[in-house]
This record gives sequence, C-alpha cells and structure tokens, in this order.
Amino acid sequence: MNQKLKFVLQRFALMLISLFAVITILFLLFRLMPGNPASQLVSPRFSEAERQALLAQHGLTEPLHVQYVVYLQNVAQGNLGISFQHGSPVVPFLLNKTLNTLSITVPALLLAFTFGPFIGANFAWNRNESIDAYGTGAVLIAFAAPIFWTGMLSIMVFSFWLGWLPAAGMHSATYTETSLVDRFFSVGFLRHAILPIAIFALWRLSQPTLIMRNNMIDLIGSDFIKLKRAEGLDERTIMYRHGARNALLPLVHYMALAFGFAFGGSIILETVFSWPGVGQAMWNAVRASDYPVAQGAFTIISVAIILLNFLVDVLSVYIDPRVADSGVET
Amino acid sequence: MPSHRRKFLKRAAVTGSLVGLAGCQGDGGDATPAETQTPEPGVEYEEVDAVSWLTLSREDNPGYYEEAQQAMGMLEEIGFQFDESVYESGQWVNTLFAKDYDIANIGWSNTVERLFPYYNLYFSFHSQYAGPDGGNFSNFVSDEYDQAVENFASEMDEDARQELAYRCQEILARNVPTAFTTHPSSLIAHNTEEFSGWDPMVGEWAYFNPTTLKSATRQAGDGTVVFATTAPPEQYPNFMSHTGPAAVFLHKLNYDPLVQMSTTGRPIAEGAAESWEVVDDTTIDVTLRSGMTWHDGEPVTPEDVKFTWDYATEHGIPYLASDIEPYESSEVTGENSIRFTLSNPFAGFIPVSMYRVPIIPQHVWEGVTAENDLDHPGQWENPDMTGSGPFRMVNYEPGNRIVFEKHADHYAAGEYDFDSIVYNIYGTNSTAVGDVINGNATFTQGLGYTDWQRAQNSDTAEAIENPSIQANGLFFNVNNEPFNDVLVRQAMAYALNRTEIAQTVHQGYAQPAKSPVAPANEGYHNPDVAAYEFSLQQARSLLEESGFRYEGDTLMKPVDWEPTTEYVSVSD
Repeated sequence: MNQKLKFVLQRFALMLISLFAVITILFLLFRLMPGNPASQLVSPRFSEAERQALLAQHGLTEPLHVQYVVYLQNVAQGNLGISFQHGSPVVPFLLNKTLNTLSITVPALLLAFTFGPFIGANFAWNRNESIDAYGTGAVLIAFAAPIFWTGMLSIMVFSFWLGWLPAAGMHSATYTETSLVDRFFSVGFLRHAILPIAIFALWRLSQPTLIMRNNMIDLIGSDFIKLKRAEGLDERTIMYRHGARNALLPLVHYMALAFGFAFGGSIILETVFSWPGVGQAMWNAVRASDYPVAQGAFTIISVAIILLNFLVDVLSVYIDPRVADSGVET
Repeated sequence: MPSHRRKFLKRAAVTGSLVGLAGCQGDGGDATPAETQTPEPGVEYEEVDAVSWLTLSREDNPGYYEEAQQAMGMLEEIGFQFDESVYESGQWVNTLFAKDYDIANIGWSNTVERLFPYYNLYFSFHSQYAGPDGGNFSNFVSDEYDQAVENFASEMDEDARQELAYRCQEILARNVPTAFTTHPSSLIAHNTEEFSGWDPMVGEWAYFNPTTLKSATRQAGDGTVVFATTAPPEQYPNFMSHTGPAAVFLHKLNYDPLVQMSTTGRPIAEGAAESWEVVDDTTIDVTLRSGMTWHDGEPVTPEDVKFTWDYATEHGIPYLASDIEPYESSEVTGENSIRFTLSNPFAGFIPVSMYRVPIIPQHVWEGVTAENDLDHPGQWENPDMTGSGPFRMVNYEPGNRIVFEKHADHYAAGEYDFDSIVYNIYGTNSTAVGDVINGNATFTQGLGYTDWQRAQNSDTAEAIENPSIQANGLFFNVNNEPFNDVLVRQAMAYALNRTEIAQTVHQGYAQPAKSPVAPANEGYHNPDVAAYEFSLQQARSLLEESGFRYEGDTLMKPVDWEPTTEYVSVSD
C-alpha cells in the first residue's frame, strides 16, 4: 500500500480511538466527581425525596451503564444534552460561546504567529547582542507572568486609571444584538476586545518567537547561508528570504496545535475580562455541577484538538514525506 | 504536610491578632487557669480522640473556611485535637447531610424572607429533620423544642409568635446544639453619579429587589440600572425549575408576587394583592388589585392566582417546597378576590410563601406539559416569560447578562425612575467594583473587604455595611461522644473568642453571635440569651465537671465516660 496513505489511515484510526477514549473518560469523570446537581441547592429545606425528584428530572437516577449508553447514542447524533442551569440545548449554546472565544483567541494567535517569527528571526540574527538578551528576557517574562496578573494590571491602567477601554464583557451592558456580524464587527466590540486580545497575544508570543529564534540560530551556520553571503546579498534579504523561510516550517505544527487549543480559550483570561466565552461557560458549569455543559465544553475542545492534530499529521506527511517512513510509532 | 501548614497559619493569625488586641482583652483570656484538677486516683483515663471537623474549601466559601481554622485553634487551647476534612461543595453537601462529622461549621444565608426565622429555627433544629438527609445538622432532639417551634410556626398573632421565637432561642442557648460564632455583615456598594436616594433592604440583596429599586432617583445617565454581580443565577429562566436565591430575585422583576417586602422585611401591600385578611388560622382572604395586565395585555385574574398555586402544588418546585406545602386549596370568591385554605396554620404564609411564590399566567402554562410532551413544566426549554411584574425579561445570555425592560402598564411603573435593568455577570469582584466606581455599573453586592474599601475610598461610589441576618456557627453532632453532653458543648462555646473571629476573619465587619436569629432581625432576636463570653477558665472547669481531666496540657477522658447532662429544660 502507498506509504503515505497507510500512514494517514493509521492516524485516522488512532484519532477515532482517542475520540472514543476521551468521550468515555469525560462521562466517567463527571459522574465520579463528588457532588451532583442537587448539591448546589444547599438548603436544609430539601428533603431526600425532593433531592431525588430533582435528580430524576435530570435523568441521574438511572444506573450508570444505562446513562452511558444513552450518552453515547446522543453524542453520535451530535446531541450533548440540555443544560441543567438554563434548560437550553448544549450544542448551540456552546457553539455560540465558542464563537465568542474564537473572536479573541484567533486574532491574538494571528498576531502572535505573525509578529513572533519576525521578532524571533531578528533575535537570532543579532544573537548575544542586547536586543536578543533583553528581548528574549522580555518575551519569557510575558510568558511566565500569570495572565490574571497581566490582565488585572491592564484593566487597572487602561480602564480604571486612563478610562480608555472598558473593563468587562464583550459589549456594553445595554447592547442589543441585531446580527452576528453586528456582534463581532462594531466599534463597541473592538473596544472591549482590545485588552483581552493584547494580553493573550503577548502571552502566546513566546512560542513562535523562541522556536523561530532557535531554528534560525541552527540555520545561520549552514552552508547555504554562507553561500548567500558570498553572493553578496544584503543581510535583510538573507535573513528573511532565505533563512526565515526555511526556519518557518516547524512552526506550522505548533501553530495548528495552538489553534486547536484556541477553541478552549482560557478560563483565566475570560474570567479576568468577564468574557462570555466557552472557558467561562465551562467554569460556571463545573461550579454548578451542570454536567451536560461542562462535558460538552470538554468534548468540543478535545475534538478540536484531536482533529487538528490529525490534520497536522496529514499535512506534515505531504510537506515532508520522511514522516511517513518513520511510522506511527514515533 | 497540609495540616502542619494550617496549624502554622492559624497560630500566626491568632498570635498576630492577640498582639493587636492585647490592650482590649477582657477577663478570662488567661491561658493558664489556676485550679486545674489532676486525674483522680482510681479512675482509668485515656487521651481524648481527635474530633472530626467538616468544613467547606476556601475557594467555595472563604468565610466558613477561615472561621473553621480560627475556631479549631481556639478549641485546641482547651485540649481538643482535630481531624479536619476540607471538601468542595459537592462532597461537602453529601457529608453534611450524611451527618458524617463531629462538628461542621456552616451558616444560614442572608435573604430577606429569612427575617421570619422559620428556616433558622424550624428546619435546623426540629427533631423531624434530625438523622440522615435532614437539615438538623446537630441531630438535636427535644420534645420541648419541637413543641415551641411548632407553636411558633403556627402562631398567627405577632406578639405571641415573638415570645415563642424567644423561647426557642432560649432552649438553643442553654443546650448549645450549635455554638454560634458571627453574623458577618453584607458589604455592598453603589455608584453615586447616576442614581441617588437608595433605601437598601436588610441582608445581602440590598438593592436588587423591587422595593429598593423604587427608591432610586435618577440624577443622570441613560436610564439603565446595571447590577454588577459575579454570581450567575442558579436554574433560570424557567420559573417551575428555579433553585436558588438569585433566581428568586430575578423572577420578582418579571412576575408579581402577592405581597412585596419592605426594606426592613415586613410584608407590604405593594404586590399584586391590594389587601389581605387573616380570617382564621387556616383561612386567608386576598383582594387583588384591579386592572392588572400580563405583559401580553391579557388581564390578571384571581383564576391565575388559583392556577399558580394548584399548578405548583401539582408539579412541585423543590426550592419552594416549604412555601407551597402549607397550601391546601383556594377558591375564587369574587371578581378580584380569592380565599386561601391552609392545610395547617402557618405564620409564614404571608411573609414568606406569598412573597416567594408569584403569579404565573394560566393561559401560558396550562398546556405546556402536554404540548411539549414533558414530565414536568420545569423542563420547558424556552419558556414563554410572560408575567405581570414591573419588568419584562427581554434577553437572556447565560453566563453573560439578563436584560429587563419596564412593563409600562404595571401599576407601579411610574415609581421606577429607569427604563431597563441589567443583571450583568462579571468574572471577578474587583472588575465589578471598578465598573461601579467608573459608572459602567450601578451597584454590586457580596464584596470582600478589599474591594469594598476601594468603593469606599472613591468619590463616585458609596460603600455600605448592610445589617446582616446571616448566622454562622459550629454544629455539634450530638449523637457522637462527647458532644452528647451539654457541658462539653457549653465548654466549647466558652472557648470561642468571637470578637477575635470577627476581627481576624471578617476584618471587624461582623458581629459576635449567640443566636441563629441576628440582632438585625429586631422582631425576633432574643437579646437576653446566654452569650458564653470568652473564658478559657469557664471552658476548662465545665469540662472537668463533665469528668475530663488535664495531664499537663493533654485532655484526658475517663475510659467509661458518660455524659452528665443530656438536656437542660427552660421550664426548670
């Protein structure tokens, strides 16, 4: 069989197994967790009968294996259940929240993966000079600094001291949505999105920057760069046209993964900026023992990550055919 | 090890605050009592077992958690050792209801209908709720108490009812099934630029209630009130499935209850009922306001009221079960009047039940289960939110915000000086307070001390310390040794330095407690019950009276120890 095709099929089978495993683990995880939807109703007035009635309302009195079969059937049909908290179907609810999340994570990642390689290439080209030393340090600090802290700091400065940007939410409190386009393409949205995008981009900047820097450093000593120098090309052309283009390849892999994680957003980022995204929905759901939503959010994120991993594998086998030879075991 | 860390932190806090309080330390604070008795010859002693203590994790409730650490440190002073279980809310609730602890520290919530202390007195201490799955977390059993609290609940005369509430508190104070610690204040803030004149309601929900919202006068702004909160509502928006205080307050805007509550917690005729009359202990006549309409223009009728109560009784709303339970039937007696018949006399029917159960429209809900093939109307996915309340819910984005617009035809529409109100959900209290200060939000509640101070220090916000009706305490499991002895429980009550707990855990924004009914609840708080003022000497001598002895600092118990006092009657 064609080596490439075989590789792709193997990866596909692995993906299916991963998906099944993840979905099963998620089911068990939420049921083995102490607490249930009745637990949030901490009221001495609840009798056992009332608590049972409440559980029955949510189908939680069935034996575990029956719940599991029902759950698998539903997942196969793309039905992740009804939220305990607000009674609406989980899939449309979470897709809506995912859009909100992507509206900050995608621009942030685009920024990071556009500027990161450029900055990294410059650091590498000026290796051991002050721009590299301080710059690398700054990028590492931006990565190491907890997002809740940088987020709070930016809110304090830009919202509360300077009053330039709003501190919370995706729109002003009185906003009424007229269309999806209106939700994401308005001045109001942009003003709310600037800070979270900037903070998230800053945090994600380190990966593309440092990977690019390391790749470039490896490349700088190679023969073809020396040859280009000998040809008399100017440094800029060598750096960007010849060096950076070659060093960029491994970044594709990281980028796809980063976008997979972008679906999950960041619980911390969304909490700090009160952003109504999937991370916040997940956090609220876990706190309220709203299994369907929490489970659904984890499912969507896992599926996104597993799918993108698979796509990266397929893509890389076509970009670099050597991958297929090394087999699935790697 | 975590327990060592806990001890260190606790000691550090205690030492720090002792230094801080050194000047104002009252008598009895000395740690070495003069007359400690040594073990009696001829009696075999053993070391007292570690006491199991259940508390909620710091993340779920920092107040409970910190109180537990402080209280344990104080009780170690009289020789007890603890084995602490810190759980997340889910496991915590299960353990609490299984009564799987010697001591659990919890508190009652702070919503206004609890001014009628039915929950604090009845559900928490009536013997009916002792044992597994009941809300009597001390397993306290007393015929005398049951009698008193049943009479309290069914007494329709206010003065007589107050006497009975006093009696209940007296029994509790003597027997100490629970050692009360503090009544923490509610820390709340509002912006001062757009609205003024607030008349906050007692308890946590100081502004977000129809009565207080009426008191606000608009000074500037676009006529929108924004409530900045970090708490997404429990089950919402389906009224038939709602499960918590936030949802109760949200429904109050959309639906009209029969009675409203004054800011001091008295039922007032500002709801759908124009007046009501207690005919006898189980009969209440209610006259509805005339000319009321639903949001869709249909008239509100007494049939709707009857429908609501019958419907809620038929299908059940677990969160409101105790409000609905006393209802037996109702009868439409005229164009605008209805007569309620109770299955047994219940003094809380007007201040609690009629306040918490609003009117829902018959023409909307009647066929819901059949049309949508549901087992329970609470499963209705996208419920029609037509109500008759002063506001109409127009937009609900779960986890983000809920928007209400004024119902122009409501009888009190003119009293609200704004057009819309938004329940805006924030990720953190600090941003919520920030937005209150800079004017993007109108008010917030449930603040920690630091955030509250920020509002207090700003020119554009006012911070208030609202009188609290919350009561925190240590529930002793009286089924377990040695907590089956009143003397031991009293000893523990003496060993708690409540002033210090209020200072260290609540930064002074709490009152020391001696009863489940807070002093802010003027109608029912009994000021004369024993306070168990902090005294290690008293604590130790009570333990010795119960047969305990100290060997150095180690608390010893006779091998064949039996409780000396199982119950103290108030009539003795």
